[in-house]
Amino acid sequence: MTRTDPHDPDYVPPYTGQDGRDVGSGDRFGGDLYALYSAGQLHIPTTAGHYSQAAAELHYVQALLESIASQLPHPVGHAIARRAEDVYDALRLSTKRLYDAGETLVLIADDYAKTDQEARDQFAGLLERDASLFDNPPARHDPPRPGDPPTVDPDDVPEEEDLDQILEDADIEDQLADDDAEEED
Amino acid sequence: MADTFDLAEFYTVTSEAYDLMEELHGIDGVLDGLDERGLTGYRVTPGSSNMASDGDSTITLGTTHSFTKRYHGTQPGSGGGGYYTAPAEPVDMSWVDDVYDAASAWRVAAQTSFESDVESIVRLESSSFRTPSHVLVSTYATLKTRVSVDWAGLSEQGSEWEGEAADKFFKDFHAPFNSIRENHLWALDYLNSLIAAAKAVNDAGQHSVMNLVTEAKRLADRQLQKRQDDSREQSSAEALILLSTISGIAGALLFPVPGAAAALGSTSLLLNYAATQVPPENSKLKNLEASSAEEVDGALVDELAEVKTNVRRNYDGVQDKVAEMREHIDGMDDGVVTGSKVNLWTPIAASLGNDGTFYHESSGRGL
Repeated sequence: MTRTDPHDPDYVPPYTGQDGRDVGSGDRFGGDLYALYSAGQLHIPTTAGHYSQAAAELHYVQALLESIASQLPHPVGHAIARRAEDVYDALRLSTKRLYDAGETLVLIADDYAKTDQEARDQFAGLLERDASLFDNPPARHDPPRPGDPPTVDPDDVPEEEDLDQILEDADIEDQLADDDAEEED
Repeated sequence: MADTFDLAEFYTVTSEAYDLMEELHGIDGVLDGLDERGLTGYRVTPGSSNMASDGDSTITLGTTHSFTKRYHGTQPGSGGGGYYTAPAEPVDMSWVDDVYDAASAWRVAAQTSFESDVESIVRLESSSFRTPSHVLVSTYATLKTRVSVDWAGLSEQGSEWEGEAADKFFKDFHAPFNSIRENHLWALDYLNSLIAAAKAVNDAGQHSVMNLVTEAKRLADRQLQKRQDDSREQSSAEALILLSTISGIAGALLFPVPGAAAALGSTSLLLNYAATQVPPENSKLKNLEASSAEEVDGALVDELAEVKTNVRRNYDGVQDKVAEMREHIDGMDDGVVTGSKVNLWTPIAASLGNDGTFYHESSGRGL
């Protein structure tokens, strides 16, 4: 059984026996190919998805800050908006490079699995064992590009009363509140 | 906690202050007019050593603290001569309407000028800063909690891979990523602090001008009260300088250094730093002194200029922090801040081309 779509959970790369490249061999090689494949197919796209969401949010923040800046009696508003744009750019570029890296790892794993029968068998066996993990691999969601309209729904922005819970869940300490408590003591 | 500056209320209080100033302007104009026309004070009447009561009239001045002013309502008739004395004629008081018209015109001009001058301070609703800040908190929490240290699932896999491409991927792309993520968290934190700082300046400026017009209104009211008090002595207008103290005008240094570590954990505190009033530690007392409507307006305009100067200086301070953030990011780009040769602001493009420079240790090539 050989499927040609590397995103198919049942995909098993073909071993042609014709590839003379010396890039590795044996079941450890196959296991490491599986690790590359998992990274490229699951882990890195998941991280990239979080980064994509973050980039979209910063894109929205930048738009909000530009609107605020147009009403402020000082250029500092535009300067802050430009820093938001800097962060958005970094998150957007990080997203792209993460997705690209993941896709490259998948291609490498598929390609190298063709070079060695034992590695191919190990790789295919691990894929079959963990087939459920690959049922719904995270799809690529590129963040909005510069100039695109914001994609964040304003209704999804947390209210102030939700912030404490978000911070608590993220294990972020309330530094100023702690300082105040120390002063009172 | 809600932002308490209310633009509609600000304009209401401003209008009320100028109502009182217009009233004061009119009263002083009438009192001055009576004096200028010799219609007040003692009048020497042949055969009498007292202030004449015959022919005196009264005029009611003001509405807020109204009072009645006595004046000489008649003047000797003209055309008499010899043994004939022409009957006294009522004094022409039509000029009083002109005084009130002038007060009204002055008020329109003064209020329009003040409102135009203050518009840049009051136009931005401070709560508009909250949404971007809340988004940043959410973004920060996502990157902090959902992107794990082993974000690629390869933390124990890199050592088996060799070659130039492997080094580029694992050492230059994979390994620095956690530091890159930390720097992104730092940037989100810093950005949020800048937003909170700008909000605090906006808040403080708005509360300052609200305090200003509130005190100007009080001062105009006290001057009107004084006119009423003085009238009991039936004196002419002797407008003494009254002093009123404004308790909350933004000082020169408004906000603690933004971008301090863990500022995000204090988002609510930072956003509410000046939400309800100028913070006492950043506030200063100012005196308003005035003896007339023009002086109340003049003091208002002068203090507004100082508020605007302080607001601008505070924004300048925030802008310095904005520049520092950019410098820090530039340092991450070229490794100045981190001492690293690797860009720790954005990951490099992972180069894993199938050019033979990426291979496994199980091959015979690494030996």
